[in-house]
Amino acid sequence: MQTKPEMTDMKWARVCWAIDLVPDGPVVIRAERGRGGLQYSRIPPEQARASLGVLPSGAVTTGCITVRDSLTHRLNVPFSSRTKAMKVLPSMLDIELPFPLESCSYCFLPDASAAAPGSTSSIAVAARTAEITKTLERYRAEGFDPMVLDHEGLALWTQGLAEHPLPAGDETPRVVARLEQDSCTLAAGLGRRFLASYSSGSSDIAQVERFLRVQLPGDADRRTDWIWTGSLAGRGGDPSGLMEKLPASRPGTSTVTSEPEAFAARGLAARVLINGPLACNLRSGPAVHPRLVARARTATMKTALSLAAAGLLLAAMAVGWRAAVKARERTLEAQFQSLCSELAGYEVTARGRDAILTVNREVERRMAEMKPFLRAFSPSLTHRLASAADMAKAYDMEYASLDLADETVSITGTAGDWEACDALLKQLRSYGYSARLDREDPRPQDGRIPFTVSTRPTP
Amino acid sequence: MKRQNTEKLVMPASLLILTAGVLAAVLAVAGIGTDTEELKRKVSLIEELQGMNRALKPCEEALAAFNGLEKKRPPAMSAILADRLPRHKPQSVTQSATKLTEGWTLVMKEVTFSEIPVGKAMFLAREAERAGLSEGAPPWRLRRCSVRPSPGNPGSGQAALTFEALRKDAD
Repeated sequence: MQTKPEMTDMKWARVCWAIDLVPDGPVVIRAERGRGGLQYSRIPPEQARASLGVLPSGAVTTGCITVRDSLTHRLNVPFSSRTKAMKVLPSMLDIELPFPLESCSYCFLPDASAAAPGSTSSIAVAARTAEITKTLERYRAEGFDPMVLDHEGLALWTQGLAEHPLPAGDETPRVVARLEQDSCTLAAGLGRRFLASYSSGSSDIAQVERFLRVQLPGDADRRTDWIWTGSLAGRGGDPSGLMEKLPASRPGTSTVTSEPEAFAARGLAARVLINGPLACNLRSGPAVHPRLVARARTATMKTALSLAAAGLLLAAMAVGWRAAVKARERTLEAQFQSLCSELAGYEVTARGRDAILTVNREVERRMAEMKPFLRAFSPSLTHRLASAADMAKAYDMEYASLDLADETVSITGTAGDWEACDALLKQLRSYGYSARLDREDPRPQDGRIPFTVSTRPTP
Repeated sequence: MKRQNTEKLVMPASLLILTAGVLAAVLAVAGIGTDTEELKRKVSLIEELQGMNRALKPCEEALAAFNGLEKKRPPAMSAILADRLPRHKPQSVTQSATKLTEGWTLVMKEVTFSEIPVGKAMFLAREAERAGLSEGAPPWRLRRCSVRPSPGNPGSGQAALTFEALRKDAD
């Protein structure tokens, strides 16, 4: 069964307990993300068992399946799309395996460093379910139940790169060799690219060299970067003499890692916390750790609830907007009806523009009724009458008729000169009359000028 | 098993709620233009009514001022004529009345003189207007004045004065 991505993605982890089962007893490393990178501390197994009884949130336990009990295989697919590639990878792996894919737990790790243009390269990591069960039983027998079951060879390789980095573009053959009392495990690659891993219970150098010839063909002449780790490497040499014989056949630099007995455990912890491209977890299907299942379930629930909350929020905003608009409309409608009724003097049943027309008719009727009241406060006509009389005296005008009302005026008579008529016209216009002046030629008998001032007839 | 079924339903249900929410939001956003137009239309109708109200206000205030007067009837024109112009008897006095609002009536009186000095006619007009004001009653107001001076005597002639006053009959 293929491992689900969420069982491998441990971005949430802050602390990792890595347990490496070796013949001398479990090696436990506690790693924590710090400002300066990962902080490792070795914990005695007894203390680890006690601490792991109640695992805090954000902590992960990890272990590994040995290279002997698992396999890695590079698969190249002529698709640049990883999604497409992932669809065919299981079938390709199934062909390569000597046993049914259904009886395996497997995952595909993207390896962009080895991909040709237009293709996708992946490392398939697989182990038979039975081997996984056995490995987990071994862990349980030691009092541990790792949430992640990583691959030993990959852990050796990536930790080798982490502790002994290679410059970018360096294609030096590298072999990370782990020497334990019961096994010899190798992870081989070119530069940063992992190629394959190998494990043997014996220290048969011929078998090891055969593996290297297959995996690193034509590289025998090139200098090989040897990295030695494992409990035997830490004791200053191994009884089998691999540390001397192998570099002799493939010369190069030879380095023993610091604290080699905890190297693999450090690698396991680092792979969980760094969550790099080669991270893997072979606990899949029924073998998935219950804590990860619960966590995945919680994450799904949280996502679902977030989506639901977002949906509800959007719906609430939409409903709120509609309610606000409706409330505003109701307020305006009430204000409108109230004003209509107030202005019309009765409840207006019409709505909208019809109501306006009704109210307008009513207002005009009321204004006509009330106009005499307003007119009572306007300037009196007696002032205009007095003014007209005063002007007659002042400008030597004799009125033959004078007709004065609020909006109309009509004065006929004679004036001593032209200017007098103009003065009268100006005065009347200042009162707001739209008046017109008609003058005749001076009368022959007395030279006086007949005139008529009157408001213009309404067109 | 029951819990697993519930968990299986949670995500589709959530997606359904999200879809409904998005749909509601989209509909709300799509309706913003229409809503805004409708609100603007209502506001403009209210502003139209408020304009009418502003035009009506001075008239109502004037009516209120009349309603606040102590007396609701103007001084009698006959008394004013007799008091102010005892030597000039009008040729005719005609009256008309128009019903207005709140029980008020507009009374028009046309006083015609066949021969009167123009100055006296003006005096009558001023006195008639003052009479009501001094008594706290609705005043007479000159609405129209028509004077025809006699030929050769411009200071005197035929005059017709039209007065109006507001009167409220007892309720």
